[in-house]
Amino acid sequence: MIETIIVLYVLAGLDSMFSGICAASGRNALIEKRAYFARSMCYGFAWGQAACLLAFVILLGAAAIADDRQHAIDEMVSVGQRMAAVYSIYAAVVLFTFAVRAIPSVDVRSVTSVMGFGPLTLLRPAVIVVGLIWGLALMPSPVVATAATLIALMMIPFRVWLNLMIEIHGVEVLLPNQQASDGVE
Amino acid sequence: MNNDELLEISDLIVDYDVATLQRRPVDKGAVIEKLRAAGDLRAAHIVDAMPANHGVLDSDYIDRLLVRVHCEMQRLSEEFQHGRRVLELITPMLTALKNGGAPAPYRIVDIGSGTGFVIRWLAAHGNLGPDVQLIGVDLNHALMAEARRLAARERLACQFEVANAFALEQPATLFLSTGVVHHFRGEGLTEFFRQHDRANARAFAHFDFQPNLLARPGAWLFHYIRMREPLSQHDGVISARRAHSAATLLAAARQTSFTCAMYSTRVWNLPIPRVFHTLLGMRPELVPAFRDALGSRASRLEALQ
Repeated sequence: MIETIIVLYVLAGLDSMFSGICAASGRNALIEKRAYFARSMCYGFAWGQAACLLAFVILLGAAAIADDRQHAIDEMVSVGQRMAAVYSIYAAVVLFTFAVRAIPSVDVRSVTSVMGFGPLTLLRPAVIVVGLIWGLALMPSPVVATAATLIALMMIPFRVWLNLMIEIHGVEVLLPNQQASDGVE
Repeated sequence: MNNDELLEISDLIVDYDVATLQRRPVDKGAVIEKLRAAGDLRAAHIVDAMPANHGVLDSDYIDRLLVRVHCEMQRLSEEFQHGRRVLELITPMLTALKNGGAPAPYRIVDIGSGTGFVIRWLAAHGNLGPDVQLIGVDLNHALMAEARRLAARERLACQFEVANAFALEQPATLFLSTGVVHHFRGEGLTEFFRQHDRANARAFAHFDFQPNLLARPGAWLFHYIRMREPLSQHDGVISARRAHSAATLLAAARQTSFTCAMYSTRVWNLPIPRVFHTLLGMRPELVPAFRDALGSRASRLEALQ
């Protein structure tokens, strides 16, 4: 069980950090933005922690209302393993694309965008759904199925949520102090 | 629909007096009507949502919107390594200018530079030397003000001017543009290149979308997943659809005294089209030095004539 929780937590952490970069992109027109993107990853990760906490609460609630608590926990682990398997493949492809992008070639980096990051961004919601369906194919009890669905549905609009939060708080939350005081957007 | 009938919102919501470069008021209703007449109801809806005062589009709102749109466009330029791509081409062009006897300083002028990403990137990373001047030119005061602010913030050695690129006090040595040439249609395209001639430029490199079967779905994919402003999404896709073919660009550019060619149209010389292709032009006497300076990249150069 612990391994499954750790794998899912790491995957959620990676997704939230990359989501932070996506939500921050296109909002800062400076040329040098390493510190900005580092902060955007932290911003996404912080909201990811909130999402993980909410997911944990949903799972606790599901276990609490289940008729057979131990059976429900076993089902959660099984469904979680299947979801993690799908999401791990996606994460591996994303990380591989990042590794290829490290090659200092204009063409290689452009190809990683056209063939990799662009389509992968589009596919992200579908991957979450596929992982959910693969997990639910185990036919868990309704309470576990509902919990898994709620968690997956929470992750699908995570990037929309981050965009909304940046709109509300202003891009200054992502800027190093000096840039924030200068007003960079 | 004929590609010449497609309209970009950003072309319609601002207007300038060509002689004075002063901003002219834009009638919101007229823009909406024009878009509806072109059958683009979505674009009409986007403009309909823009604020207006007594029927005239709110110029402050439009300026802020255009700055946001250019910021989003910069994201794609960064993702597709456009700054480095430009540098890889203008470095041999500058070498050819120097070896071909063109007098310094070499003034690189980016036409329609917007918030100046290319010029600022070159200033930050180009290491082009003290005899190269980087200038961004645009008709929009707000975009130029933003470009200047961003350049000052990073202490970049470049300048931005609200001006006609072909009527600068100190004329350009080399003209650049990105995503600009498709805005010129028909005789306007030919006239655009003739102005390069009249301005006595030594060379030019214009980057724009390359029309092919994948351009439209590709543009849709990247503009809809990467951009937030409806205007960015709409105009990005329309730009790709309006892009000129290599044949059209060359036919127009070759009505000048420049020797012209397309550069870098395929990935690694495989039958895989690049997102952007580049129209290159230079004075005939610079061609041998340019070929030498290109080195192994000479294989990307198509027939120069």
